[in-house]
Amino acid sequence: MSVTKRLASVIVRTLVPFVPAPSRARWREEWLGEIDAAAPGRELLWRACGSWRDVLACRRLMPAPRRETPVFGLRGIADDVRYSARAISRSPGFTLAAVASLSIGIAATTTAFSAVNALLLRSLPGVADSTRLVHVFTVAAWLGGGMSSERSYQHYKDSLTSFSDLTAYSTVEVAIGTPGEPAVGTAVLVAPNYFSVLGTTAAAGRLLQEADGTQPLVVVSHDFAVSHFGSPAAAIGQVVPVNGLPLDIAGVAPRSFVGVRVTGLGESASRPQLWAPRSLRTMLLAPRADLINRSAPGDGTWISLVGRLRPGVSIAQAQAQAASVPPHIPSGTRGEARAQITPLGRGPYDSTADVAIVVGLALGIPFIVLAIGCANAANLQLARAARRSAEIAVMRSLGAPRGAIVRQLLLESLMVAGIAGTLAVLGSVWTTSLLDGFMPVPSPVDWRVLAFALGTVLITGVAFGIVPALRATRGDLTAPLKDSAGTALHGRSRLRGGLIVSQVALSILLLVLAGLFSRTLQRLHGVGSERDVSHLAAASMDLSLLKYSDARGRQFQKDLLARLEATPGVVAASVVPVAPFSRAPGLTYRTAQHTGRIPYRYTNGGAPLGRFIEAAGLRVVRGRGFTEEDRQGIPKVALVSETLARQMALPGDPVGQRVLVGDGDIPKIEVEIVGITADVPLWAVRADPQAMFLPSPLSYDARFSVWVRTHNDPALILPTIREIARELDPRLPMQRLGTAESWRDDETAPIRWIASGLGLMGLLALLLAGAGLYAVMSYLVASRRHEMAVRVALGARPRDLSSLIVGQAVRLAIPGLVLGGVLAAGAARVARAMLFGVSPVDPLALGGVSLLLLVVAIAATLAPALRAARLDPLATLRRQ
Amino acid sequence: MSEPALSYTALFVLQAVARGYRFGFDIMDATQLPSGTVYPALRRLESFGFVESAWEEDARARKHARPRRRNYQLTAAGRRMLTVANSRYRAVQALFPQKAERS
Repeated sequence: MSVTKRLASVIVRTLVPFVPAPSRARWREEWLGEIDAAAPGRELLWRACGSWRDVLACRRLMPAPRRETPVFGLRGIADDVRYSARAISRSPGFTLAAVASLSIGIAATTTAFSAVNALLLRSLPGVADSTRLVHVFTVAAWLGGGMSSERSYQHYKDSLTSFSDLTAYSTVEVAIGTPGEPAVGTAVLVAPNYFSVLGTTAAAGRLLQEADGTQPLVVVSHDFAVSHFGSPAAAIGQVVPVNGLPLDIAGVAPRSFVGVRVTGLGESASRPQLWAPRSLRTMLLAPRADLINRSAPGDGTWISLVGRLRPGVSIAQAQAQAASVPPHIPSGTRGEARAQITPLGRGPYDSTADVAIVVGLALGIPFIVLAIGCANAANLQLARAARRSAEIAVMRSLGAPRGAIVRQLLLESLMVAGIAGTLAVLGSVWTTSLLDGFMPVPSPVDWRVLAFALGTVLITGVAFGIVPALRATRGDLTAPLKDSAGTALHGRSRLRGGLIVSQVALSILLLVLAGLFSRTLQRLHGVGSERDVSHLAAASMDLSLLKYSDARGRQFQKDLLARLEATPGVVAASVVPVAPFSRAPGLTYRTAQHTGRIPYRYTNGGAPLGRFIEAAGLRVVRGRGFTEEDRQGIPKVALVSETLARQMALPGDPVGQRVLVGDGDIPKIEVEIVGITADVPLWAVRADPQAMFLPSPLSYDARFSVWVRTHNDPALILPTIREIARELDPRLPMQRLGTAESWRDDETAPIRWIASGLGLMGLLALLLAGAGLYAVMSYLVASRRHEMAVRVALGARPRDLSSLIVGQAVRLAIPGLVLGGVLAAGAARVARAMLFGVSPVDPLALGGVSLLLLVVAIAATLAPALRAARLDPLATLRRQ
Repeated sequence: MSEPALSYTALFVLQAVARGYRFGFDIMDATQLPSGTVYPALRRLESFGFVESAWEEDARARKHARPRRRNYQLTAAGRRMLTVANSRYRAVQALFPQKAERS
């Protein structure tokens, strides 16, 4: 039997129970007989799918016997469901509006939850049972974080018996010599038992094992194998130079495998490309003298330890054992130290406060949209319940208990929420696939996400249905039957008004925040206009990847500058510890007049190599700039910005005075101020304009950016920079290369995302608020027909009626606007750190949003107002 | 007016039965109507007594080792109905492929 035939008969068989009992056997045999005789194919499936209409036809012709006494339990619920389905399909407009409102909100929250799920709840891809894995580290005052040393790894491995095995890893940045262009990547140096402790199996080839020793082997990520070699299988046996050392690809890690921890979020999340044995680390990495000061995990000596608990051993038992084992302490250190074990938990991050904040933000905003959707649906439900008040009164006078009617109405709202939820889940299958680019681990719609969506549906269904249901069944029986009109906007509809006010307020909140962020963005684009960034390019690199000694690194930087400055079209070049527009470490200084507890003060600025003042485009307003002579040896002169010159409060002219300077340490070098530069926000997007510059570096930095100022378009110099760097060392990867404007755009990208995200949500929310306003106004016009007819009879003109309705709408919009404005001002105050040079009460953002709101309010009211104006008083009054 | 109202599609299906298309799926093939239309129409026609249905012979079904098929035939009332309808809606007849005659 073909697949389509089998599927078709499955479809038909599932429908059999719904056929009325007398004709069930015949129906079944007839359909199965036809399917059996038919030719297989897609057409057959369509026909089988159409059989439900035949079921309905059979039911219509042979109605189920009417029940005589009210039946409770399952049968009663089935009847209720049928009644509810009929009720909601009777007012398709209402259903459509409510479903649209809710599905946007549910889709937003479901998508956000799937991200949270991937980060905090789902087990790690490619790792077997991560709940049995723990981190082991030494806690000590002098140590700070949770890092362990190589020696303590051996120590814990020997002494902790609660583990079936203990492994170690460290994450480092490396230069990967992929075919074509060397690139910077993330590598994990792992102990040989790493993959066996994690329970990972290879997608192709084999993973690292104890027997490998110091063989130059490497395991690459699935993505790496696919993008460079086409498929995992094709990657096996290929050679990848890592920091100049050729390694053979032994295997490919499973898809999405990231190990047990990821640093960074979003696009900057470090997804490792390769896993190399720790035994190769001395060959791969430069020895670093200043390990402790740098506290960076990338030195290859500080490692993270992960153990798998022995079967039957609880975390508490393991912790108790760890507490009894004396930790390994380097000689010469004092103070309390102890071994600690923490469960690895799920997800690729430590569950720190940072992740919690991101998660809170990610869920918070969709929840606001969901709340608006809920308010909207409640509004529509209220209006509809009022329209059905006669029907409900009939039900009650026929003896239906209030509880039954409330249950009925709740069932209707749950069904609406269910339809919206189904659409939302289908939509979030698509939206979560969009998330994948931003997430270190995949975030599919799994059972947790589905359960979350179901919970959201139940809660929203009850939330927007309960109040209207209770209200609709309250009060006396006869009033609605009499249909006496004129119960307009008093008391009863205050709730409705409140809902409109709150959703207008919420959409205003989102829109104003979006406005503030885009104003911030505007300001950020203005940054640097004082110093002309339009002719600046920069490239960043890290010489420590290639194990350069300080002397060789310094020579490289000098050669690079010399070659760049010799290039036609280049005005000036400089080697700077930081990239344009990113935060700088700055300098410390001490004047002769210094007072205060701390013996020095801090300022922005720096001591770059080469002609920085010219390259950065700084203007010297007084005194002189640096000369070639100044740039030789230890700095003897300095330039200060106008603001710093004022802040130093030197007696008399600052030019010619002497101060002590240093780079982050206590200032020891005496320099003479030879000039003053114009104020510019120099380094970071939010930096203060105080700055000091020295003509030559105080120390060597292996990580640096080279800034190049050009005569023409800076984009034209980019290939030349790459070419020169490659001539100097072909193994060196360029970390980032671009014009200063592109660096600025990268730096402001998070704000741009926030602004556009808020703006989109705000617009959606405003659209929903508009729909809600429309619903309420339509309802008002309908329920005040009688009153308005009387008004017309008494001489009111159509214009008076429409202005009555518009006035009503404006009266609802204004308090919402005010409330939203106040909320936005409060929220902006909280988010002030991210608003650059924009006041939390920005008139342009507020004014623009208010105008937008008024336009939407009037548009939403137009149709109901026109309906009011066209009212025929005679016909209306006759109907009463 | 005592005769029940029939839709165009029901007439179309009746027409197909009259032309000798006996089984539900054959009627679909002939009329190009979906199953969700043809079967409800057949149920209605049967309830009005315009068509009657019976199982095909057991032996034939056993020969192909499959469930029996239900075949439909026009009743006398159905034939009368069709004559009235054909004179009223000539278009329905014209819609039908002529060469489909078989019995």
